[in-house]
Amino acid sequence: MTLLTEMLQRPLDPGYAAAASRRLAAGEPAHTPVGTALVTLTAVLIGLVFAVAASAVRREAPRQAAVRLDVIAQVEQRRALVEERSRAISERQGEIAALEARILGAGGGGQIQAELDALALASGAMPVQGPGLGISLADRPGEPQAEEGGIDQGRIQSRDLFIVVNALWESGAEAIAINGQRLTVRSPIRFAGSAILVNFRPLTPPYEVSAIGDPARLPGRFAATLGASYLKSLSDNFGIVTSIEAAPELTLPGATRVNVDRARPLGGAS
Amino acid sequence: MGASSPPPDRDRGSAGPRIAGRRIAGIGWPLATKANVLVLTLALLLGFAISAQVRQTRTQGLETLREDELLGVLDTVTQEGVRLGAELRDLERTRDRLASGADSELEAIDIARERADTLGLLAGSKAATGPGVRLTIADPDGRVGATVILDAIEELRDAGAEVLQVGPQRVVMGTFFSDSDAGVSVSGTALSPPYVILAIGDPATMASAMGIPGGVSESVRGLRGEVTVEQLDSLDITAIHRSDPPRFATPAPTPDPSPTS
Amino acid sequence: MIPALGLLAGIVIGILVRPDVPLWLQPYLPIAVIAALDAVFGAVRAALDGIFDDKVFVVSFLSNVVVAAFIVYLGDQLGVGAQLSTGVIVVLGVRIFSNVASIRRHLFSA
Repeated sequence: MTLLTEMLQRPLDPGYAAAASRRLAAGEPAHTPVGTALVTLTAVLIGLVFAVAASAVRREAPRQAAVRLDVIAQVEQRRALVEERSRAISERQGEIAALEARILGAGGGGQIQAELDALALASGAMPVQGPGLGISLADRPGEPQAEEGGIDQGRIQSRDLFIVVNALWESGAEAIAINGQRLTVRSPIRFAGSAILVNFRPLTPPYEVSAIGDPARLPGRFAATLGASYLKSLSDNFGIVTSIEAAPELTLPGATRVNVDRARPLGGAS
Repeated sequence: MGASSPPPDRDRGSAGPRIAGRRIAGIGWPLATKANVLVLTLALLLGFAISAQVRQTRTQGLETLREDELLGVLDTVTQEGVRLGAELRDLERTRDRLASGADSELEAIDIARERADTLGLLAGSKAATGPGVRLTIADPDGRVGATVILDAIEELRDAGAEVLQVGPQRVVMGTFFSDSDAGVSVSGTALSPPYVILAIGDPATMASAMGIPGGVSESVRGLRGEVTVEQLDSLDITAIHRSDPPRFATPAPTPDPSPTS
Repeated sequence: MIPALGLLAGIVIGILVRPDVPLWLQPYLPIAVIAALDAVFGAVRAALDGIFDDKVFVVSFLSNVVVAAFIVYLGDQLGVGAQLSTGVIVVLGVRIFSNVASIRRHLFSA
């Protein structure tokens, strides 16, 4: 405390007072030409330090910021391209389905058409609607905490999301999408650094998990899963903002990644 | 700077409760004095600054990522764009075949079959064959839980796995993992270690995805287990998933334009 | 008046010349700025108090910079450079504020 008081009450160098009283006692003049020159020199030096420091900081910062902004712009641009192609793919799929329905409907292909529809529904390729549950997760409000020696626990990790999704499947969900990204068997929920990627698209918080399922049983079953207690501990311990709400009517888009490159049906067609 | 300013008037402090009360009332009473207007302006500025700062910290998009993280995101999004471009070209070719084909009905049935095959592989109703990996997770201490298996599945999906099987169970869209007494359960079926995961896809990509620092192999080793990855030119996934048609998720009439996320 | 012109001249020279700061010097730059600020405000206050002294000013600036730089250097060697920098900035910052408060009383009597 003494140190603090001392610091606060006598901020001026005691040297000034001492020098003044000594000067007074000796009857010396307050200013000498040499002294003034020295002071001026020091002032120039101080000004130089200010300017150099400012210009050094300014030169460093824009260079880094420019690179970052450039990368962000590129990500946004590619992301727009991905969205555009996804939309085009959905349209082409719709066109193909319509063409097939017309051609097959005219001939004797009604059965394969019905099979296609059932498979598209089961694999997540088809947009669906129905009642269900909406779960929202958002990072802890406020400054992201220092990430020294690991991860900021107030930020949602990809693991948090896939544990919640896993619990929703366990509770009998029939279709799930996160921020409009429909989940299929091929949908990874991963991270790149602290960004979460679903279907290889970077998502921005808050994360809205929409699940279609039995409106009478889905909420209760979900509440009984480990995933639900995990969600609660996220909000209790790490300040992550979560909400679970029943949704009377959800519409989920169809997935775009509904192809295979390497896998072939075993032993020909079924 | 209270400590360095001159001490306030001593006698003011001992003014008594009556005067203090009046003074509080005076502060509360809105008066258009110069001081009040000044204080109001300052308070407004402070409020604005606080809300601006709060908004600033709320918008946590790409801007909060470090540069290396941004580059990772860029890489992923670029690859996805290329992949979608190829898929789009395929679909356009299919559409043109359908639209202009002379034997359009035969074409249509052909294409429908192909599509049914693809969707059947994804939906889990068809057995599959192709190149891929066989992942064996040994767990002598019984410490590998559902989250680890889930992590491995997500990592394999990220590496492009197309068809997956865990133990005797085909992995489909709605497959879930939970912990049971004996080990990990897949969609309610209890398994016991070692856990064998089969995945069809690019073997090299999936194998290297398992070995990344901080990845699946490392976390399993941390539980004193061991992951072995065999890259295979051809493997069969014979487990079939029979699902009842969904009861609540009904086809949506118009495709929802996917919201930008 | 002359020292103020000198300060201005220094700033102008720095902006015009834009010297390259060697990398090893960069960690000390912020500290030097704070120490210089402290010296400047101390000098202004002393001038207003009527006890300004040329020698004290020059010595206080130089010693401030040297001691601050030394503390940061020592901190870097001990692996607590960032913390010590913060400490130096806090101490000098408090001094700057108090000196500014005193200057304010002189100029505006508020």
